[in-house]
Amino acid sequence: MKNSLGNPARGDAFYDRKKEIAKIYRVLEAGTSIYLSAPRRVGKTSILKHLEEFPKENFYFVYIITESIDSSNEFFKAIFEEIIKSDAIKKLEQISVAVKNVIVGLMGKVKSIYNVELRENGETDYYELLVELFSHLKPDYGKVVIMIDEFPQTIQNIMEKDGGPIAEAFIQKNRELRHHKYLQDKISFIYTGSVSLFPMVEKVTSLTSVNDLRTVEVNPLSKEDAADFIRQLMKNEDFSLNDELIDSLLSKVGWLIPFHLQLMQQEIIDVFESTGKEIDESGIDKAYDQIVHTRNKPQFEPYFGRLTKIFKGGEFNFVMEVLTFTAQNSTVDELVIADKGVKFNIADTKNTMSILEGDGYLFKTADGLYRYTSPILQLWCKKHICK
Amino acid sequence: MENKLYNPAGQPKDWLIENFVARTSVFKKIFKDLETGTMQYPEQNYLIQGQRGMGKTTLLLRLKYEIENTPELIKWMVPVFFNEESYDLTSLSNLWEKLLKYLDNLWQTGGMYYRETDKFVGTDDYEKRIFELLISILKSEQKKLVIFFDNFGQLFLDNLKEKEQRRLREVLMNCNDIRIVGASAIVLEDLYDYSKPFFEFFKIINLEGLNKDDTIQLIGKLQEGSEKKINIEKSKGKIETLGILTGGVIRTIMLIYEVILADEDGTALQNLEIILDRITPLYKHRIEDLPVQQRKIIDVIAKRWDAISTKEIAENIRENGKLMSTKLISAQLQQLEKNNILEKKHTNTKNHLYQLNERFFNIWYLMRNGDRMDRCRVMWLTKFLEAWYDGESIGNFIKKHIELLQSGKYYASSAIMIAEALTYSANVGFEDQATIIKATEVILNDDQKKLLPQVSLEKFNKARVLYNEEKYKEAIMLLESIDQTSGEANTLLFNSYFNLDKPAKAIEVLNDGNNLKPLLLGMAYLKLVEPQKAIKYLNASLDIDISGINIQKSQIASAIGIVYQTSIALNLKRAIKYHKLSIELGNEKGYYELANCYTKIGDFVNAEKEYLNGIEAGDTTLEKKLIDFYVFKGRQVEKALDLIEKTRFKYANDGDFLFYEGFSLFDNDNDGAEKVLFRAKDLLTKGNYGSRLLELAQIILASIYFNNKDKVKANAIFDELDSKDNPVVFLMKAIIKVWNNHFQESFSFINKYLEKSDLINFNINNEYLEKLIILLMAKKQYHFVAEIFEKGQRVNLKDQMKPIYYALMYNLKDKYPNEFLKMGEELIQPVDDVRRRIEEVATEYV
Repeated sequence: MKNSLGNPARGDAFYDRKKEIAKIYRVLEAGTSIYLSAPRRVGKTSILKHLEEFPKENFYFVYIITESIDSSNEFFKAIFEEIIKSDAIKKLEQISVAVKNVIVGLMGKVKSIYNVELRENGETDYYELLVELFSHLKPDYGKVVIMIDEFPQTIQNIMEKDGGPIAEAFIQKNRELRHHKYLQDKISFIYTGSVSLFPMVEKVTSLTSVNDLRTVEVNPLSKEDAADFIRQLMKNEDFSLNDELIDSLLSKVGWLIPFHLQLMQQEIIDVFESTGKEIDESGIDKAYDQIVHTRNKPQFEPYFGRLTKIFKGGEFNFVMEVLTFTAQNSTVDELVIADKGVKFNIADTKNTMSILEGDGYLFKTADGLYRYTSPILQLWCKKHICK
Repeated sequence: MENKLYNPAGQPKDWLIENFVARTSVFKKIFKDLETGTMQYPEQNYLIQGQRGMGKTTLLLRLKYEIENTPELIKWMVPVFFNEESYDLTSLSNLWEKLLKYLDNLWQTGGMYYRETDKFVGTDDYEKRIFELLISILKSEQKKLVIFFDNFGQLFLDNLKEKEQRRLREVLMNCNDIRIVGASAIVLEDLYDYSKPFFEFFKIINLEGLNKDDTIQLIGKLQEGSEKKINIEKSKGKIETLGILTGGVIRTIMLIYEVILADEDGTALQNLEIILDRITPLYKHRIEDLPVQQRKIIDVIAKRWDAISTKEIAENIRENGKLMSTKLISAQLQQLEKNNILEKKHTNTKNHLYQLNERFFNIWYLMRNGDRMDRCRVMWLTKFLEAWYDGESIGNFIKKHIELLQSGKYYASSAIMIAEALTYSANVGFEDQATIIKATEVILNDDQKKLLPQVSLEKFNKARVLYNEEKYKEAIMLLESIDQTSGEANTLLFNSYFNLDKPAKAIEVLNDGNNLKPLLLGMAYLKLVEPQKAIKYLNASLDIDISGINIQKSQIASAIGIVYQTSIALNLKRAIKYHKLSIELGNEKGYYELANCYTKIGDFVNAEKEYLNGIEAGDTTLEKKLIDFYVFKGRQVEKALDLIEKTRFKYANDGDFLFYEGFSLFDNDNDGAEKVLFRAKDLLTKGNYGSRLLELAQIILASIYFNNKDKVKANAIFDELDSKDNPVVFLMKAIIKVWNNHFQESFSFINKYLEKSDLINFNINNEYLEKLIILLMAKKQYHFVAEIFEKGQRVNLKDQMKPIYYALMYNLKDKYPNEFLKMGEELIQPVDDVRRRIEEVATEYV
């Protein structure tokens, strides 16, 4: 298996996330749309890409990333165009001549043939076009699942560009679409993104606008899976790691998401190549220490860089102080959090802490203390962010 | 050469492949990934980072060529190389446009693909449309693009707007038709904001400087096919130095190799000028972006070339006439180090050294910002030349260089640079410098000649004559008009100031290139009475080559020893160490100081041994000194007399010698002592010694006459005794005055004595003081004695002379009735003894 560090894992670089995928299908089969929730770099996009490429029978997945989109119409246009281009539609066209005709008809409406759009007066309302397209699909063709990556980022973009009310309207429009009669039993959505959806929605409107979504969580790998994952990665290399070393590697990494395991494997190879020695316990230690070398900045910087997008002003300062405090002291308790809340004038520290928890930075232990979910992230913060 | 060094893209493909030696492992790694990646899914993109000249462009080209040379790959892969001058690539849509044009060109479509973009002009999603066009073309041609993008950071990434950045991420995440291998130069404080969304799709590869082995391999490759090869095995050390001095930057290593070893006509330096011009806007821009204080710091560090300490930086920066505080400088240094502009070199002490991280930037700085006054424009070249050639082999280089100049093909500007570099080198003597200047002049026109360093040989020689005539001021005037400051001229300038008693100024004029700098600094600090600094620099000068000057290392070691021995930096153990070193280095005169040190620490056994060693080594002056030692320190009168006997034939008329003899006899044979001492006194008086021994001889004689109650002789000798500060002399004078009943004069001497005396003096001179007091009491000067006791309270005189004190109180019991009653019973007898003695004295010394 190839180490696809940094990129979404595709093809044989994808480690089968059986549990998550089974759960996604269960929810989809019930006709519900999904919010796929996981901290960044846990493997959401890889799962979506995998669904798109290897769908279960009667399922058609369309993957769309809307990270750069900053208007509602542009958003629905992107969905429309991706659907038209998608393998899913090509397959549907093969099944049904009717579908093909519909598409040709719709294309006539936008006076565009694939890439070429001949503009008429006024803007095409892609929301309406989408609805029309969906209206022609029949439930027995199968189920079309539209997967929207970086959806929360799109909300943010719209909010920044056109303000809260427009962003709110955008969220409502999505809800409308999901509940449109022409979509029932035929079309489902999976939303995801590296920014948490619910806090983003809450910034502009109430959570009821998304309460129809069923949250599916992507969890870190189990210990067995993680060990298997490492073994698969090592197959391409000139050396292997015995079970004992893998064990110790896993306990160091702690938070067993594929990304951190990939990082670790990459560093192990680096240690092997630079020392020319068989990897032993000290080699694992060295690799672990190397992970937080500045050269991995592109991998870690976004963890903290993205916080500037989610939090502003005092709340951002509060978050950074909590994170650096926890990095240095390993835990942070309610009293310290309350104290820092007062310091930065944060009325509701609970909400902020729950974002940090939801986004995978910290977790709450049985005795009510917060800890870093990932020891690696803690180490990075300690080394590069703490003063 | 221009091609080779600064424009890899301009080199023939085969040549580049053939000469690609330095970055092989990273090349293999990336190529393996390119080769095995089928691009069915989006593949790993790369961003290669490193300073300018680290081999990024060459690596990109090498990868491109390897794809072109691999038939299975070239079937479906289209490698594209965008060079550093792709200034039109400032947005995503520019990139797609450029690629479409490239494909038009490659497949000779007559511009068909690019023309298709006309349709999209004016649309909101122009970028997206033409991207899709590009992808559809690639799909229909069944080709995939690999873009090798030089200067990817500055030319492209930095220009992307936020929305484009997110778009780029979308593209990188989804597109399996394009893959990017970018290279980006780190210039000064360039640090990317890695939290930008697209960075996680790039694997960042840092190209570090070449290590020793890489450098050796590179040099080996460079001289393949060359006739004059250097012996790599023998030159490993030098090559390593070259590697360190260049920071392992390939381009600089190659440049230096060319200049100092292989350049036939000055092309290398000629091309350096071209590239410096080309990068000037970039570097200038970076410098101007820095805060003013940091710029000042950079200026000092850059002009020094070698690593420099915070303190030295501070000494060279003034703000509104005040020196900048080291604290402030440290803070700025930290910032500059964090931003990768400076490199911190750790030392054993807390004082780390700093130098510019990018050595090529330092070269640029010197060449473009160093003026002739600083004499630092080509300092880097001087340093490289000095690192490679020692004092002897530089001669061969000069000879060869002159031959090349005579060939008539040498570039004028390069010739000037070499001439400058050589004339500023302390390794090149004035004669050689003059020869080079002359040979260079031949190929220059009149304007160019003005750029040459002045020929200064005549001036220097004249200055030397003036110096020898002790006309230091005139010598200085001449020397300061000399353009180059080689070791000799600089040393002469230093010595001139030094001899004018201006050591601080002498330090100021010292040049970094002066090999003797540590020694001269040491001398100057000696003169400034800054022993710690003097020791530091003198010690450093033990490691430098000082042949050809009038000072021996043994003398330096000895000087350090003496500083340790006599200054506030007192450390006798270290003094001993350096004196021993001095002796080892051949200083036959070193034994005396060594023995002296042992004496001072009370190790008389070793002291005596070293005196004897010294005498055996031929230093006969030690004989008298050993006698002195026996007499005063060793308390070995027998040995003293023995040695006196043995050496008498040499010193029959030597005052010192006779003094020792007299002194040795004193107490045992006072008559003999008197005779010898009297002769010694005469000789010492005539001998104009100003010797401490004369005074001692007089004091002892006075003491003998006093004890013999020979008033006439005593008066005569006491008249001779004269001192402004010796308490013993005051005391003796007081005694004789009392004896002569000149009480007022006596009182004034006693007061002088009390003023000068401290506890130690009191203890040592107790015997005479006691004599004086008893004599005073014999002459009934009780109140004055009471005053003496009063004044002597600070040294507990009462306690030291209890019986005398109570004898006094007995006499003054009317005035101090209670004092006498305090006397303890045990003192009754001693006090009685004192009173009896006073009565005796009263009759003896009428």
